[in-house]
This record gives sequence, structure tokens and C-alpha cells, in this order.
Amino acid sequence: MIRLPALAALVALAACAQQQPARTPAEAAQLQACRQQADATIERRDRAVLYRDEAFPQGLGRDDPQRQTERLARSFDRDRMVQECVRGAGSGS
Amino acid sequence: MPPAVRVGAGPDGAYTYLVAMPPEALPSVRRRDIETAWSAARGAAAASRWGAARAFRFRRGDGTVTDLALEDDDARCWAGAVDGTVGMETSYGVSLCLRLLALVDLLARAAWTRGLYAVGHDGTEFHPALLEAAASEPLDSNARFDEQRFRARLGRPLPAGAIA
Repeated sequence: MIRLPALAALVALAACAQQQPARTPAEAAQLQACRQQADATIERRDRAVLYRDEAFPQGLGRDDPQRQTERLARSFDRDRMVQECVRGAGSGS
Repeated sequence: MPPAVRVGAGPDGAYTYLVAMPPEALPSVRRRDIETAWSAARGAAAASRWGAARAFRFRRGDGTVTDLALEDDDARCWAGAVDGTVGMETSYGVSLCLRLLALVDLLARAAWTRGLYAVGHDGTEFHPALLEAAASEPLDSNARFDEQRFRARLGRPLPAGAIA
């Protein structure tokens, strides 16, 4: 059996203590709906770029920085859309 | 006659359920039990009562099986709430738990349900027809609700071209 060193165990315990609170069924449904909505928006908006990445995943034979930047920007954008959507849905549960 | 549900103990406090029927044959439940389960799940989430891991094995008459594992933390929490109220040692309790999860899943993916429930600070209010369908519409083999059947049941036909 692999045993964690004491320090690592403490870090793991701290991580558990900081676990996000559970979501209510309504919150979970809303969050998932917002994620789907954000995905659909990005798919519509960036259809050409997404197609390019799917059709030519290697690009010029390497993962060029431009594509990495685009992916990162898309990821941030998606998170922002989801957060705004959840906020807009109100704070009920 | 063997029991319809056999509950076992898995590793790390997990529960295992051997169910002598497929998800699509699980019984209907009472509408008010769906409401109670939803409220209990809400309460458990508010109190962050994390539930145990649960794994289900559904066995059909021909011997084929469907396995389902609750890996999502929130789903475990809600299942724990159902177990703590109605219990999950019967096909009724298992059905209630999976119907609750299937309802959450349906509300998340079906935008047309939005007008059929309202989320407020004191809880969620449902249109009675939505709850009635969640209580009695058969689950599919993946323990989810068939969106088209569910919608048809509520008398809201899909718009032309919307059928996948």
C-alpha cells in the first residue's frame, strides 16, 4: 500500500475542507443548462475555427501559439458566459 | 421469491444495488414522493451532507445487465437524502432516486421545461403535470427520461424539425 507522507496528507485534508458546497437539484440543473447554452453559443460563433481545429488538428505540424491562445480565450469566454447565465438566473434554490 | 433489490457494501463505504429488473421496468412512484425527494435533496445540499458512492446493477430476465454508478458528488448527496427518507432497499426507493436524478437531467437539457417550474428562495414549485410525468413516465435503459416521450406526455408536441 502506498502511504502518503504526513505533509501531503495534511494538504489533502485541507483540500477536502475547502470542497465546494453541494448544489441543490435546481442549482445543478441551472448550471448544466447554462453550460449547454454557452457551448452552443461558442459553437455558433466560432464554427469556422472549431471546424479548422477538428479537420486539421495538427495545424502546421505543431500546436502553434496562436491556436493555444484561441483555445484559452474560448475557455475563459465560456466560463464568463456560464457565470453570467447563472447569476442572471437568480439565487433561488 | 428473491427480493427485487439486494443492497450490498462496496469498498470505502459505497453501496451496491443489485436490482432484478432493468431501469425501464422500475415502478411509478407517487407524485408527492417526488416532491418530498426534491425537498430532501435540497436540504441535504444546503447542509452539504455528502452521500456515499452508489453503484447499481440492473439485471434483465435474459441475464443481460446494465451498470450505473453515481459518481457525481451532487447526485450522491441527493441519493443520500432519498435513502434517508424513503429508503432505497426496494424497487420503489431505487425508482424514486433515479427519477429524481432523471428529472434534474431533463430540466438541464430541455429548455421547453423552463415554464413548468419556478425556482425561489423557499424552494422549487413545479407544474403538477411535470411532476406527474416524472413520477410515472418510464425511464429508459440508461435511467433517463426520453425527452420526446416526456414532452408528448405533457401535450407539448415538438416543433417541426426539432425531432433529432
